[in-house]
Amino acid sequence: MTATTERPATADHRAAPARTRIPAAGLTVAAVLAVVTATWLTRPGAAPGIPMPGAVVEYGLPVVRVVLDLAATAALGLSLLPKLLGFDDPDRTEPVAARARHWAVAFSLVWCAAALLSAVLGAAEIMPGGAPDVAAYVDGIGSGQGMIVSASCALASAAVGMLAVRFGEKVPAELRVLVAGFGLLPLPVTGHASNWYWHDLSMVSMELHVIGACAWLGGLVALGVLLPRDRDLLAPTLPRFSRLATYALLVVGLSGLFNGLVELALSPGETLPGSLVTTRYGWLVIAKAVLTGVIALLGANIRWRLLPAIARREPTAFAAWAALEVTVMGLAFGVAVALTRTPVA
Amino acid sequence: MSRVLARLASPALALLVWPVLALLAVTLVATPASAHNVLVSSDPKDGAVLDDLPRTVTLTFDQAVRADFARIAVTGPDGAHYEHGDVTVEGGNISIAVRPPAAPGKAFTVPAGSYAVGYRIVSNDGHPVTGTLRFTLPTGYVNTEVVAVETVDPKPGTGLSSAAGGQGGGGWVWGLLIFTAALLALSALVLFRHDRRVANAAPGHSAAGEAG
Repeated sequence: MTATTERPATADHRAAPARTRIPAAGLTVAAVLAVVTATWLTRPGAAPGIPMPGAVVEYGLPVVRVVLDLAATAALGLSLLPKLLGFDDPDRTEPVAARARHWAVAFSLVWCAAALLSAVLGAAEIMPGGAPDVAAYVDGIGSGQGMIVSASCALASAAVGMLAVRFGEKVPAELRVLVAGFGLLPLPVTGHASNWYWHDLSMVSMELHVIGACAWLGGLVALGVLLPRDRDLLAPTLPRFSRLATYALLVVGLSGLFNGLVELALSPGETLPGSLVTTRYGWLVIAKAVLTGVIALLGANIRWRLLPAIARREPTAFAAWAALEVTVMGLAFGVAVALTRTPVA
Repeated sequence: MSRVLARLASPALALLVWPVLALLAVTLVATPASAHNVLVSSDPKDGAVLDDLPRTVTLTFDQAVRADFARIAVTGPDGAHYEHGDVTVEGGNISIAVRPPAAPGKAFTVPAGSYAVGYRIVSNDGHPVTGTLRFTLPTGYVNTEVVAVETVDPKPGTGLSSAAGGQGGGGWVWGLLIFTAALLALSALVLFRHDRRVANAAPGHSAAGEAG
């Protein structure tokens, strides 16, 4: 039985690798495109007489940051997948779960490498015109330490994932999700953090934002890439993800709005309703809000138009809609990276 | 063990996990009160029209500025650098002395025109903050009181602070980076070899082992 389910899965995997990778490719291209555009729009003008970092650093750092975020998201989503698939029917879910475990390790390794590279680029950014002193950067600046902590967590996630590759689902999925989730926590620290009265609240809100967004996008990518045409698996799995996505939409939307407005409200020299339009930070906040709205609509389409048919195991255009939603999410991620680097005023 | 984990996975508890994780992160990871610095005022003001060169340029930020990495440059209409010595940092104020680029005691014609004050500091959250201010001298003049600026700093006035010398602290970071990179390469190799072994083995064999 196992052998018979294994063979079609691998054959399918080999027959149509190009089509299953459309969501992943759309996501990456959209994210990189968005971050490069947003960085170009919001880049600071040159200060006369001051050495500035070169274009490689100016654009390379945000791009590496997007790669880091996407790899971490994929690692989290793939670790989450066994929870979405459920454990009732191991014969059917095992081939998909095995591929998920394998790719979770690969993405953890990419994540770790991107975190280390962005520590080096971050050092180069603040020490233009010379060899970057990564040691001083990490030693002295919080975001450098955050990158190193995240890289260590990514490595730990790869190690646990490797155990899972070797021993299968006996390594609990919860453990993998926890380790990968913990590696996401240092990332908000590397962005803006306001030092106001409610500092702790705004940090919690930002952590929730990052974790919610990563679980949401990661889960959808895992579903969209690994089982878009397996109707028998999709039928029980998608409702579980749909519930997760609803919570994620609420958490991500509210915390994102809260953080963006707080950051704008507390910035000296700007008043709130106006600074949404006049500052570049405000533009990006608006762009993200619009993208969130579009994603919510696309999600609602999958949930209310496609889900009933999927539950009846009928053929649907789920793969295409998921790819579209994932691409829009990629745009949001790219804008998010630019947002963490844009001066508020 | 697995039953405990299964209980843990019940949806109500799973919902609790994330806030707890977030709180944990705040206490463990969050650095105290670090944020983006914003320029709030300056002396001379942006766009000011002055009779002669200011002695110093002072920039005021909304919160304390990191002393390392702070730079100010004053560029004249002739393209020469007019700042002199090191940047001094006092809380949210950073300042630098301004002096015509001439040898002490020599007369120097300060040209009329627009002077650009460029600055770049590293914000408390680790991001660079860059900007430019301008002031104008409508009429040039011959500066004869250069001697009054008694600084005998041999450094050319680049305004660089001597912060980059971080050889002493943070050697552990390099060790960590190299160790991690080695570990990364090893993991990639192990994953790759495991792939090949699985591909070479009889199909379904390992999956049967894992499913049970």
